[in-house]
Parts: sequence; C-alpha cells; structure tokens
Amino acid sequence: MSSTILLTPASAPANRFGSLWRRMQRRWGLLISALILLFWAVGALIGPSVLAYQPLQQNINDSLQTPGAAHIWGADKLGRDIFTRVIDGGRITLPAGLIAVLAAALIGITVGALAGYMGGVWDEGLMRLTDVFLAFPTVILAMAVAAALGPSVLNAVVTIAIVAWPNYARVTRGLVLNVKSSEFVEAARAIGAPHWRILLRTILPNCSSALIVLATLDFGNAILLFAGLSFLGLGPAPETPEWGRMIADGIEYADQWWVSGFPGAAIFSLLMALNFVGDGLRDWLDPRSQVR
Amino acid sequence: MSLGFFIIRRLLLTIPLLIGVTLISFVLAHIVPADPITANLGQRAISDPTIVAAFRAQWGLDQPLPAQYAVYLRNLLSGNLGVSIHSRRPVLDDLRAYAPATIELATTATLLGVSLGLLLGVLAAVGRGKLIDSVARFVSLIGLSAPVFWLALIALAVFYVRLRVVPGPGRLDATIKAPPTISGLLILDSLFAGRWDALRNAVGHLILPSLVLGSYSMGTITRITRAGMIDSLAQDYVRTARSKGLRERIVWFRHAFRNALIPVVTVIGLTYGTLLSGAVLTETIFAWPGIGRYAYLASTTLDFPAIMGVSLFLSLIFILINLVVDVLYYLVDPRLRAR
Repeated sequence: MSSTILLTPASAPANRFGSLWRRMQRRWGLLISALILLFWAVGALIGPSVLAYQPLQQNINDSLQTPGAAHIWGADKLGRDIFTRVIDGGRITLPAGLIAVLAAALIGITVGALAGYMGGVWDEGLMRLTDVFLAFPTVILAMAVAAALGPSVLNAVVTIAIVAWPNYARVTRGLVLNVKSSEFVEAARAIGAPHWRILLRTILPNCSSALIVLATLDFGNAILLFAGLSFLGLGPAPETPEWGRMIADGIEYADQWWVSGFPGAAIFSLLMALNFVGDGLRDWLDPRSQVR
Repeated sequence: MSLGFFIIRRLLLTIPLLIGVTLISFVLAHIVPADPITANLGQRAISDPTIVAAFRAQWGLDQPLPAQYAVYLRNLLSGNLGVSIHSRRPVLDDLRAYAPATIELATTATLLGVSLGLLLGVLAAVGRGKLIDSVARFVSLIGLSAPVFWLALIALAVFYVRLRVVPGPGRLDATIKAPPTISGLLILDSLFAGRWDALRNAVGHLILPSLVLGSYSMGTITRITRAGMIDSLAQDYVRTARSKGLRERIVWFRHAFRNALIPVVTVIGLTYGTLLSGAVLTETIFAWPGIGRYAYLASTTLDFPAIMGVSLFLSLIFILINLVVDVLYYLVDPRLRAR
C-alpha cells in the first residue's frame, strides 16, 4: 500500500480548488464517481423518508419478484424491496467504513508520528509493534477479533480499525522523517515551540495530503472488509439490510440474480468511485504523479 | 554485505516477529469476553460442573495466563502447535490437511493474476492514451473494486449454472477418485499418479475460483506495470535504444519491461501472501476445503489453538515471501549489491 503513495510533502499550489474543477471537467470519470458517491450519500441521508417501502417490511406475495414496476430492483425471498434495502444499507456501511478508517488513521498516525518524531527507542519499539501487526494475516486477524468480540456493527468497526492502523503508522513515520529535517521545522524549534506544537502544527499538516489519499483509498478497503465480515456472518444481525449480508442471502438464488446482484453492484460502484477519486486526489495533490 | 549474511540477518529478525504474532493471538484469545467453553460444549454439558472443570483442565484454561503462554511457547519450540479444540486433532495435522488446497488455489490465482496483469499493464503503457489503455485500466479497476465474494457468485451463476462450461464447487467431482496424496496439491498428485482424468477435473475445478481470487492481483499488477513501463519508456536508455535503430518490440521488452519489473516483484510477493490468507471468502463460496475455511471454523468456535496455528503458519509464509522478494531484489538490481 505504502509503495503506491508517492507524495512528497510540498507546499500547496496557489488555487487548488480552481485546478480541481478544471480537472473534473476534463475527466468525466471523476465526475461520474462524484455523482455515484453523492447518490449513495444522499440515499443514506434521506432514503427512509422518501422511499415507498421499509427495509424490514415483508410481503410474502412479492417473494422473489423480478425487478419491475412494483419493485424496481425486485424483491427478496421474504418479499422485501431490494432497492429500499440497498439504499438503507448505505446507512450502515458508509458510517461504519468512515468511522473505522478515522479510528485506524488516528491510531496509526499517532504511532507513526511518535516513532518518526521521537526516534531512538520509541521508533524501534513502535515500529517493531507495527511490523508484527503487518505480518499478522489481516483476514485471519479480522475473523478472530470479530468472532471473539461477537457479531455486531460496532465490533466489525473495531475489528477493521485494528487491522488497518499499521499502514498509517508506516506511511506517517516515513512522511514525518522526511519533513522533520526541513528548515521550517528547525525554525519552529529555534523560536522555542514545544514538541507537541511542532508535531501537531508544523509537521503533521505537511504530511496531510498523502494521508488524505491513503484514507480515501482505505475507505474502500474498509467497506470491502466490512461487507466480507458480514457476508461471513461476523457483522450485523441477520435481518439487517447490510450489503454483504444481502449478498449472502442471495447465494441460494442463482436464477434470481437481483437478490445478490444489486447489493454487490452497490459495493462495486462505491469502490470504483472511491478508487477513482483517490487516484484523482493523488494526481491533484502530487504534480509528480500526473505523468502516470 | 554478502548475500549469505543478508539472509541470515533477515532470518534472525524473523524470530521476534513470530514471537510477537503468537503474543497477539494469545492476548486476543484471552482478553475477549467470549468463552470457548460455551462455544464448544453442548447445552447439557455446560450445566455439569465436572465436565466444565475437566474441559478447563484439558485445555489448560485453569492456569494463570503467563503460565499458559509459557507452555504454548515451549511446545512450539518442539514443533507442537497444540490440539485443535474443534477438530480434536493436532493443529499441525490440520494444517497439513488444509493448507495444500489453499496453496494450490492461491498459487494458481497469483499466476493468472500476474500474467494477465503484466500483459494488460504493458499493453496499456505501450498504447498509452489509446483505446487499449482505457480498456486495460477499466479491467484493472474492476479487479480492484469488485467484492471477491460477489464476483464468485456471478462467476458460478454464469459459467457453472447457466453455461455449464466448468465443474461446480469443490476440488474434484464426487465421481472421480482422488489420486494418492503425496504433495496434497491435486495437480501434482494426479501427475505423479498418471491420473489424467483427475488432472483434467482438478484443473477444471481450479479455473473459476483462481480467476476470481486472482482478479485483485490482476488489478494491482496492471497498475504497477503500467506506471513502471511509462516511467521507464521515458528514460534515456530507451531513447538510446531507439536511436540505435532497435525494433520497437525489442525496446519494450529487452529495455523498458525489465526495469519496470522491479516494483512489480514486490507487489507479487505481497499479493501472494494476501491471497493465501485472504482466500476465505472464495473458499466459502466454492466449498474449497482450504485453510481459510479452517480458520473461519476456528474463529466461530473460538478454537484458539487452531487460530494461533493458522496465524503463525501464514505469518511465517508471509515473512518468508518477503525475504525471497528481498533476495530477488538483491540479485536483480546490481546497484543494491554495491552498497
């Protein structure tokens, strides 16, 4: 992961937002991605108040109904409206992924910044700890933690944060080491700024762009892991309208493709959009990578 | 630094890492609120205090934690990974039984993913900005974005249920007798036994799950190869080669591609490790009797000896793969040797 982040902490170009807008106009892919993200976000925010069905509302007469006028994305075995459930699924997945990434970033950035800034024993100790977590097989760790804590949304979030933080630690440490020797850091030290102030106000802001790109791409990974855990039954409770869970519900219905097709398409579209936006952000924040 | 010294140093550094891995899984196994007793004993057995006490004594659950950990480490040094609570067999035997299926799957997946990724990456870089570039980038984006369990369901629905071009889940059809186990890898074992029917069937069963599992590596490798090729095609030595009048194809493969390979090697190593441990979702859908399934069962029954065994085994493989990658680096890049 860290090898794909090739940002050098550089000063910001004068009008970032202007250049972002021009790039968006040039690149329809980014525009479509932004629209997809907007669709799921708005759906999650206002979905329940405008949709005709309730996500848990069963109607056995509509069992496995094909997509059509009554249910635009069809209905599942219990006659629940799939469109409603998929939209509603965003209300769980999006915040869960976001919180997991923020928590992982918080832990990882703290560890990495301390290791990079303090150096010496701190660096050795913290980075060896990070190495151990990196060597630990992610999916096995996630399954073990999720199973041990018990299946629930909150525990899945905790699980994802536990497996995701080491990446941030490694990247942050590298960035901090890079910035630490800059002249403006020495200047801050020379005027007698305390360590925490140098770290928080001078060094970390200069590492932020790479970390933002990492978090954007990682948001997708978190969503994928969350869906995978619920697919295995290690996420939210069975009846919850969660995407991975819904895909698992559709396993028995190979002919009724819509049961697992639409929730899968939801994850797929969201991840594709996040990957696109992540790449776009990287290009925009790092002129060096634009050739790619 | 000589190669031998380099390898020994890296191997020594592996030891604290592995101890750390056992410590994490051990701590994990013991701070959690869940209780292996409720996960493994039936309703009636739990209400009988003598059975519960016997269970605790049998698995050492009645000793203080540091003592349990010390016992575990001592057993580990003599190659004893403990006994799985769930299967009641030594974890090492379980690993021997389940690991080959996963190794076969992950290796095929990596081979497919890497060859497709290299091909797409080179094509995209060479035809940069053209249609082939967009197609390759789109395909790689699909690989990176589609949830593997969803891809697996679609692939089964289309190629098995509808078109009937591949055999279904599992490693072999029920009608086909498995070849005698030598390596545990069905392809090799069928070859050793000269069982062509088993070989054909095993390969058929492997195609779909390995394509699905390899899709993510395909996506990553395409990206890295494309970026690396574009970088090296812009280098001076490529211009020199072109100005010498070399044919374009020779410039691509002899000059640009070899240099673009260096970052790709790292990614191949990393993804192989990820696929080994990340195969659980694919294995679930394809009823693949691999280590991912084993770890899943172990997790849901809080079978900590088994979880620790799997973690240790996979971490060890992961670390060794990284070591091999570093050694390859050392051999491939003469600049590293000079340091």
